[in-house]
Amino acid sequence: MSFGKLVRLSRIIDPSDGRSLVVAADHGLMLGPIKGVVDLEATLRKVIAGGPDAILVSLGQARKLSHLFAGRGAPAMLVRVDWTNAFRDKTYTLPARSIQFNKVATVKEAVKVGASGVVTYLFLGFDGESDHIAMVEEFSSECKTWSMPLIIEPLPMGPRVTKANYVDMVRRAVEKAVELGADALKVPYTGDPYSFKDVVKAASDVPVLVLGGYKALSIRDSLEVISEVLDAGAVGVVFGRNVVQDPNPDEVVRLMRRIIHEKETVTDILREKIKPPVKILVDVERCSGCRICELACSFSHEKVFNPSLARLRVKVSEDGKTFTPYVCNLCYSCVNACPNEALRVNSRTGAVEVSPELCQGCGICVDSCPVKVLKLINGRLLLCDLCNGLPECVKWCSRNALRVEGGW
Amino acid sequence: MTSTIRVGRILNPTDLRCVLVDCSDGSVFQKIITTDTNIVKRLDGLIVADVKSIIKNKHVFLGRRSPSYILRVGFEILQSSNPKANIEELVVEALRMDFSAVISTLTIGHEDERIDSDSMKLIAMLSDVCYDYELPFIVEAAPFGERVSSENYSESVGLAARMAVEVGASIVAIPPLKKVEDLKNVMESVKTYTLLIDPSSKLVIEKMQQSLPDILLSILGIGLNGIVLSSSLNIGNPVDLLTDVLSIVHGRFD
Repeated sequence: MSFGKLVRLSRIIDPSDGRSLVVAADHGLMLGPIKGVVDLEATLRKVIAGGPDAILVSLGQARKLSHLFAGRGAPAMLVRVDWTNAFRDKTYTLPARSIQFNKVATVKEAVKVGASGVVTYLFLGFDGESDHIAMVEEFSSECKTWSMPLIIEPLPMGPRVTKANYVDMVRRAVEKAVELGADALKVPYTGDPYSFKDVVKAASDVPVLVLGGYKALSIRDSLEVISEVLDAGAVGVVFGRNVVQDPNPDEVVRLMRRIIHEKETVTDILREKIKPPVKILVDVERCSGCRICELACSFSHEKVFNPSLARLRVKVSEDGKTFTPYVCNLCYSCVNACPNEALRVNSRTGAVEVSPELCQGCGICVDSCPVKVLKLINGRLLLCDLCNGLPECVKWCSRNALRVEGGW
Repeated sequence: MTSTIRVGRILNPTDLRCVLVDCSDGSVFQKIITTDTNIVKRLDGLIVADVKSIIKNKHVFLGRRSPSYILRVGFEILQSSNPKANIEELVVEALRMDFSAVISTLTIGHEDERIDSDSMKLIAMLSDVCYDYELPFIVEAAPFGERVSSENYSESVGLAARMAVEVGASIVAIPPLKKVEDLKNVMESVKTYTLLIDPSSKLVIEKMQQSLPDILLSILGIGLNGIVLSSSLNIGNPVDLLTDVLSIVHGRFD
């Protein structure tokens, strides 16, 4: 790698730990004034306060907002050099009828403005594939001339891409991007660490950054994805909407930094963020009926995977199509119903606790529970203790059907 | 046009000040880098005559918090058959290598005024190409020809500095003057980022009696943006001097 590329890349990927947190803020170029990028300067000032390594912007915004990138320690500037309508789906004005793309900036202009890297898409799986590859080849050649790092975003795109071939397409697109001279890659997450490890392997030591895609349901989701992809070999992430559309982008960036650079775990952060008493919220629409919540609960408390020992239940509708999780809603009917005063509320967590010495196993509390999540098994009362503030059922629910009040 | 990002790598945006070290003769760089790498990392920029010393010590220059590096362009480039093309080639190469600025000297006051003219020609050509490529251009305004005397020194400095600004310098470096008032007048006439040339530099005719830290303490308050250190680092312990100068310029006595 040329010295110029090496120095510029070192501004994007921190040489002290080999990791990177990039915030994408180039959405206006493709999607117009979406939430979070309308007053881009105000948003980026907050983002920068969180300490990202780099920020991706269009050339127009790069020129207009270059003062935000000035100074040692300021984030490195990345410039998007191509444009596409491909992401303008039916939820946007003028949805794309065919995939169009174009060069909208030169590498020379990006060098002049002081950028540390340029970013371009590489779409595989649509009719214009060969023209798209030719465009990326041109960028690659320009980047070589100017010693500018080229970050390629390889994406399966178009009618030939299916759920069945998606992971394979990502892997092939990554291989193609490496062939075309990518100095780093911005890759979509394949959804599981196992297939993603293959994608990282296909990158042949070219650093892999994972893109955030659509806005996640919660910060917890974003942090968990980051943690997974780092474990699978990625060097960092390029997150956009999950940062710029959050009411507190600086806080989101700080949390992401803690996972990426300070190597903290999501659980560490959750334990700190979720302040008891916590309340578990249920989104029935999101429940797929996988019942992993029940397994997580039983394993956490009883060290066995047995849904009948869980402190929550998932009810299946008669037609088997809908699933409703029932969790302790902290109504305290059981506490009020207990004739022996064996149940009391833990003042710190808000959860109900049982005093084994006072409990006579009469079962009145079980009958009083409006959501039927109390269980009396062999004289022992099983009740939700909210896992000391970080419920395992919430932690393991991959679809966010269970959440903790406050977005976590 | 000048890249705000590159200027920001040289002048700290929080205080608009900088400490640059002129390593273009090579020896200063080797001296300080072998003594204390950490002090080099705290500098705002290093001036080099070529990229070799930078590549050799690349670990110092990697990462967002690393010092900037600035390319010195000498008079000899004018002697080529097509200086303008060579200058463009040089500026493009500087951009490729990610230099943050180019620096050159404007010298006036020579008996043979063609030297003044050639110096101005070089500065103008460099300025033009740097502007096209948005690369900051630093000019050392240094009158040291035979016609420069103690009587006309401060006016000559003022003349050279103003000529540098008119021709397009983004940052001007000027020699220290005995009277703070004279220095202030020069700065008011240039109205751009202004640095002090090392009082011990060969570019400085009027030598000062005070120590470098004392000079800095007496003149930083008038609006100077920093200093270009060079020969002073060959006297005594360079690390101690750099530590003092960094503390004075950036106001951090750590």
